[in-house]
Amino acid sequence: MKFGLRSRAVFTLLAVVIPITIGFSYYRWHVELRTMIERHAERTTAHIQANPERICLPQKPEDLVRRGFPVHTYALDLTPNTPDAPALPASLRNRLQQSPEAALQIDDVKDTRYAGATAALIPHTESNPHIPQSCAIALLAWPDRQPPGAPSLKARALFQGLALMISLIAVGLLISAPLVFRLRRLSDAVRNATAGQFDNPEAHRSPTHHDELTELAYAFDTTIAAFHNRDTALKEYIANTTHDLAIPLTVLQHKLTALRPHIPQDDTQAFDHIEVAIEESHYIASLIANMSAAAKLEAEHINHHLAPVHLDEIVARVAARHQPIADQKNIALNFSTPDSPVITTGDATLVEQAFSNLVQNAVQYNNPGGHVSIILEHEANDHFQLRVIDDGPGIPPELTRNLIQRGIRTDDARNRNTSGQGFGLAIAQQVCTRHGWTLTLQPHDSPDGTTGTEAIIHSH
Amino acid sequence: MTPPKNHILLVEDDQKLGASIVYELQEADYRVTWLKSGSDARLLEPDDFDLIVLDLMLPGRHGFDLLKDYRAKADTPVILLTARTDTQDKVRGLQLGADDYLTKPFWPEELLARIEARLRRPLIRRDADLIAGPLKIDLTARQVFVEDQPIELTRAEFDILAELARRPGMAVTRRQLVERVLPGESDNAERTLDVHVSRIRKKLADAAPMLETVWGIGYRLNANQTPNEES
Repeated sequence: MKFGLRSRAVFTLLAVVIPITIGFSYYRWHVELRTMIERHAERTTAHIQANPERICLPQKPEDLVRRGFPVHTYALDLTPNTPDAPALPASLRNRLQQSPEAALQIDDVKDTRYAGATAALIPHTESNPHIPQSCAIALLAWPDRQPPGAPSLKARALFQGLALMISLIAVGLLISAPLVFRLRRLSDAVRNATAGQFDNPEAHRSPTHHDELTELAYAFDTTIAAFHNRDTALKEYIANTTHDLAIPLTVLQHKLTALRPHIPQDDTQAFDHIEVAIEESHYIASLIANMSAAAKLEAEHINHHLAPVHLDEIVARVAARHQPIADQKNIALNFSTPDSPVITTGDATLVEQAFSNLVQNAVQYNNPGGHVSIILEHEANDHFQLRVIDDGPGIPPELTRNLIQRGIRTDDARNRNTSGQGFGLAIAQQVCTRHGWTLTLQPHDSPDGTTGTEAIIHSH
Repeated sequence: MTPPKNHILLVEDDQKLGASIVYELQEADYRVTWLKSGSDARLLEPDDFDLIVLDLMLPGRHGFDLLKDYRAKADTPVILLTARTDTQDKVRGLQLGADDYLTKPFWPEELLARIEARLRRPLIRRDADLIAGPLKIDLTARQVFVEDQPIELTRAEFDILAELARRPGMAVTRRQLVERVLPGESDNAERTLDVHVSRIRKKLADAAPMLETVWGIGYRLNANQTPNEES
């Protein structure tokens, strides 16, 4: 499972905040309790002092209850005035005598229920003539440490803890959310940059708001720009190379063609030489065109040159391009187009190259006396079908398989013969994919009993 | 009678390529004027030529600008030579009124074929007649003549021949012929078509080689067919 930055932040926050909350709640609970006890002790002591006779000489049972807490009185020798009063330690008396009228915490009382109770020495003075000598000490106790009806201290502490937790989480999110947002925006922009232009989202921030993320974005900016430059340079290099090669290659082809009629009919060796030279120059030309097409397919994720393409004209053009080689190899190259134009939308250069590669393969690997036919037909709903059929030795099955699986591989280009065939087919395949067409290769049984290959491009 | 030589203007700055093209065009019996710069080519009247072969990358004036100049003056066919494989150039060239284009490298045969296609006079086509070599097809009277001798064809045979003659020199698929000429035939319709064609061939006698079988496609009526050439 993958966690995003945001969920990680929340997890971390919870891991930190929960113990803090628990500790805080516990502390708050203690503080609240102590405060409450002290407040009560104070009030009760004051009450005892103000009304000593009601406590020392209780008239009704309520007098021995103060705000829900039981009140016990003792004589100076610590003998309880009430039967259920707990026994008190002797040390308490000394402490009380040292600070009369003060409410003291009792720590060393044996009965744990009375631990933390408050005791006060109520002196027998002339102003308090009604107070019997026997009522010297009043013990204020809270066996449950909580008077009935008082607000729940635990709930209050818990509420405070929760409030703290929520505010901590809110602060954490407040800090992390904009960071997460900016990081996402940045990663989206970087991802898009591989497809085209990098629009640095951090650059829109005012310079006073620049921070480490802005720096990161600028670092991406520089790197991506460098990659773009290299990409452009490579594209230009390929374009220039193909351009520079085109003219000398044309001259070469024309000179070879011009030379051929001048070879004596009986000089078969010279004929052989020149025909091989012509074929090789044709191969180089197609290789250059394929390199250029591959560069174009690599570089352009979006079709820039979409325009109406007359496929019937392209078929005629492709047939014309391969006709000289087909003639030389004594291969009958024919084509058929419908009598109405077949128009589609696409990149004419790429489409021509794809068609050309299919024909090139069919011609190049066919045997003398073989046939290659290109058939372009209308299909229903403005679709078309192009078939290139031959009676040659066929494409090795593993090549067909690899073509579908792998697409363009450079080692296909390095190897000639069957693999060189693969490069052209891979280009054709990519061009078809780019245009939303399908390319199928299958054995072709011709009526005359020969078996060859059929390459089919379907527009649907 | 020999037709007057067609005059072709070649605008190409590459010395060697230009020389090769001039040689080939002259070998193909054209009269050629060769200019090496765009600025020189601008001064010429396109109307003085039957066809212009125009390179795009030229010193002095770009091929596109020349094309615009020429189009403003005349409709002389223009074939562009472009070294670029850029689709934009082709699209732009055709938009500016070029008739055709060739990308370098190209074979001399390709250039000659494109030039011929542009210069070819349309087949003599009186209202309902198709004439190709010794063959004449009168579509209204549904009559076929070989060297002016009438030939008796059945309805289907005539339709097949007329369909092929409508697009002389072009291979027509069996499927299309069956769809157009033998509708309703289902099983073995293509076999039926082949039988019809062999009967037509017998009846055409001397003109039979014009009706070619095209491997993997169907048939073609080839007006330039010389006998004994295998298809």
